Amino acid sequence: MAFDLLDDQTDDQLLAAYAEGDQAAARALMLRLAPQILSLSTRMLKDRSEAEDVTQEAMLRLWRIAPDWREGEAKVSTWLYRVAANLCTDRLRRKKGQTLDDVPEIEDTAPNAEAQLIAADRSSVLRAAVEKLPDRQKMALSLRHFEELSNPEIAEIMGTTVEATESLLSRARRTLTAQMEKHRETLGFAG
Amino acid sequence: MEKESYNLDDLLAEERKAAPELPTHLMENILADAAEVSAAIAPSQRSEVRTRHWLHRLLEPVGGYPALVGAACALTLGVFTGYSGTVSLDTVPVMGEYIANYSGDALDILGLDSVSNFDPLAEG
Repeated sequence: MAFDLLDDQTDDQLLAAYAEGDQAAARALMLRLAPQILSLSTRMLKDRSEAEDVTQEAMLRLWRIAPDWREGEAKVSTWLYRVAANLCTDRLRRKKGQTLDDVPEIEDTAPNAEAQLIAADRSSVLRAAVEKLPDRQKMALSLRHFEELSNPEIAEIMGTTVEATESLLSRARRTLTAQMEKHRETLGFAG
Repeated sequence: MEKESYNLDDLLAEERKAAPELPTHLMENILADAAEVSAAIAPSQRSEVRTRHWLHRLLEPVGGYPALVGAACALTLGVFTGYSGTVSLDTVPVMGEYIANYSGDALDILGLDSVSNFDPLAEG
C-alpha cells in the first residue's frame, strides 16, 4: 500500500492492514499515535528515557492485539492512551511506593525556588506548575489540554466517571491559576 | 511595556505546541517490534482478519450488523405476508364462526334484517 494513500485510512483500517501483514500500515500508525503517547508519558514521568520505554511498550501491546481487534467497537487511540496511562501509573507507583491517590500539593518553600525556574519564562513557569500537580490531576489535565481529548474519553482512559474527571480538571486548573498568580508580576501579566 | 492579562487556556494551548518529536532510535525499535509480532501472526489469523475487515467494509455504509438484522427481519415478514395470501374474516375459522353465531343477535338488536341492509347514513 502506497504510504501517501494511508492518510485517508482510519486507525481501525490501518490496524487491520497491519494484522494482514502490511508494514507500511504499522509505520503510519506509529507516526500518528506514538508522538501523543510519548508526549503524555513525558509529562507524567518527567523522565524522557522512561517515557520512551512506555511508548514502545504501549505500541508493542497494540501490535499484539491487532489480530483480535474488532473494527468499530472502540477507538484505537483511546485504547492506546489507556494502556499508556496504566503503564505510567505503574511506574509512578513503583517510584513512590504508594497508591495513586490525590495528595495535597506540597508547597516548594526552598529559598532558591524561584531561582530554579528560568526567570520570566511563562512556559517554564507553567510547565513547573503542571509538574507539581498530583498525578491524577496532571494526567487529566494533560489528556484534556495537551492531547485535546474529550471528558468522556478521559474518563474511559482513566477508568473513572465523567464527573470525577471534571472534578480533577477543575482542581488542576485552580492549582495552576494560583501558581501563575504568584508569578504574575514577574511574568509581566497585568494585575 | 504594556502588561497583558493572562488566560490559562491560552497558556496551555501554547504549551501544547511543544509536543516532543519521535527520536529515530525509538521509531526503529517500535517498527522492529511490529515486524517481529507480524511475523508471528499465523496465516489462519490473517485470513480471519481479512474476512472480518471485508465484512465490516461491506456492512458499515448501510449501518453495520444492527441494520442487517433489521433488514433480515423485514424481509422475513414480507415473504411470510406475501406467501400467506389475503387474510379475511371468512378465512379465519374462529372469527367466522363467531360472526355466524352472534351476528344474528346483533342485527336483531339494531333492527336490521341483514348486514347488507345496514346503511349508516340513513336517517331515522
